[in-house]
Amino acid sequence: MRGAIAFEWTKLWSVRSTWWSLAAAGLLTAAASVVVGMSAFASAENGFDTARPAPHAVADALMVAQLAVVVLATLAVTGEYASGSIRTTLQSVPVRWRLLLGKAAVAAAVAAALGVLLGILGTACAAPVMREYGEFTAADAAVAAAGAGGYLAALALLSTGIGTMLRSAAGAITGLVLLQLAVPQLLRAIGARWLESVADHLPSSAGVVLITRDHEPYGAGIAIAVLLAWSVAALAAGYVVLRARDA
Amino acid sequence: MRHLTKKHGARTAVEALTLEVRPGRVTGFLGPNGAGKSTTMRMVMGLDAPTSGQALVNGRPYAELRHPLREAGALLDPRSAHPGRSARAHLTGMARSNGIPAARVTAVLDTVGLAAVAGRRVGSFSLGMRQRLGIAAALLGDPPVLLLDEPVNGLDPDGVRWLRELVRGLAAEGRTVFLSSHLMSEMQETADHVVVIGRGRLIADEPIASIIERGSRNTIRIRSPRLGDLLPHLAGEGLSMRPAGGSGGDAILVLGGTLAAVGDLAFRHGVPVHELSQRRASLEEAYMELTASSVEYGERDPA
Repeated sequence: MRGAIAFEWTKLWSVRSTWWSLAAAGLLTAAASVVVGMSAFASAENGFDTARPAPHAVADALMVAQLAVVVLATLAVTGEYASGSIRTTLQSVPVRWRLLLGKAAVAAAVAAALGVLLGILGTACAAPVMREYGEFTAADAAVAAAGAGGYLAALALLSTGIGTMLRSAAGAITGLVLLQLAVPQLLRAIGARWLESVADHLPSSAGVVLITRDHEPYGAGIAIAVLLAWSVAALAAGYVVLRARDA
Repeated sequence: MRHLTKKHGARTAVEALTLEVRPGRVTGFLGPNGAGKSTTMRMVMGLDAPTSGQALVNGRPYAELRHPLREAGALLDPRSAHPGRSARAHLTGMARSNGIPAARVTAVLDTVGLAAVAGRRVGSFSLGMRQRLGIAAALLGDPPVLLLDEPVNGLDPDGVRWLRELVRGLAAEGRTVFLSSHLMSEMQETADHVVVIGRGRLIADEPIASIIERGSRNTIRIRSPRLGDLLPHLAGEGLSMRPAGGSGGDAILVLGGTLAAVGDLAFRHGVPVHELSQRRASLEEAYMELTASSVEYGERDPA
């Protein structure tokens, strides 16, 4: 297992797309945090009750920046099929579950560290523009950073699973973008109570809970359970395909 | 390989293939396009799962080997490295996955002549360089078993010669080398033993010399200015004949018989003979004869 992880680690850092994805995540988080913060400040100045701890703006900013993690984790799998390097990978680590866990572990670890950094970065970008409407405690910032780390780690697992299942970057990334951005909006737009409840249990909703500790619609414990359930389901589906289909 | 079978839907790619590739010699793997060579190699290396039967490496399925790269190395396709990764990074990752010391990476890059371009991205490599990288990857774990699928493709003449010497050297060290190629002349130079398959079935599994022997069937070439006088006598001995190409019509190939018998025959009937020679068939001819009935994608003689 150590070998499989070291292998994936080496592969991840030896392609440029990884660095591009990380840079994009940083830029998107910084830009989106500033925009979200400025919007909150302007609304508050105009009498709306939009004051909230600045670290909570990270939750909104990550809805955009998360796409970088989707791309990073998906390409780590689909790039292998596109380039044919999956042949080398499976010869090196022929045990399918070991290979998949290696990929998942590396993607999740990198995404977790990235999430913590993005949490801090987002807070640092949003706080100055929110001024008095963004007052927060050190605990708020720490919770947001840890929550962002946990959420992005889960997203990396989800992306690894979907990427392994579909084997194509286009299909996997499109599917994940729909799941993360379009489906929640769609479900809430329809207005049916049960559809809203489904939307609440999508990974992105659980992510917001984890970052803001909103207790709306549920607490952090359930949020973690929801994210784990999605991750495990996606990885299991990926494993089934990886085992059943020839490389 | 024991009763190895692979079906793609209704099509059978490999059918009940049973063979053993032995150490210490180069075993050539021949067959027409689509005969199932690559599929067989992919099954040995655990990329494709057999429909039934099994392929074992050192007595065990590839996926059960603890450090598989140290037990068997394979070049299956020159497109087996990420184009954005450097050659060195490609091999380093593989080495780490199997607990192979990093010094091996440098060593195999030297062996295949890629040391100078180790830091370059694989995407900028020519086909020949990719083949060399694939060979480096196969050698990385210093494995006792090597499978090379069409390794000669894309290599320049120097590269072909280098590969031949490398492969012969590896077999001489006692390793098992299983090598497929379309180039019969190259195979004749390189292999000690040949396995031929056609349409997924085993056609031959024997030493290269015996395959050639079998294919040549003692062809004798006779050239004579009075060939016409000799033909009825040859036919009278029960020998079959066919015209020899490129000789202006004064030569013929006789199948069967011995040089002495044919020469004596000509002498008895007073026919002058300007040439009497044994022709050794090449592996190519022997192969063509063996696989004539099992060409998958190719022109067939109109019935």
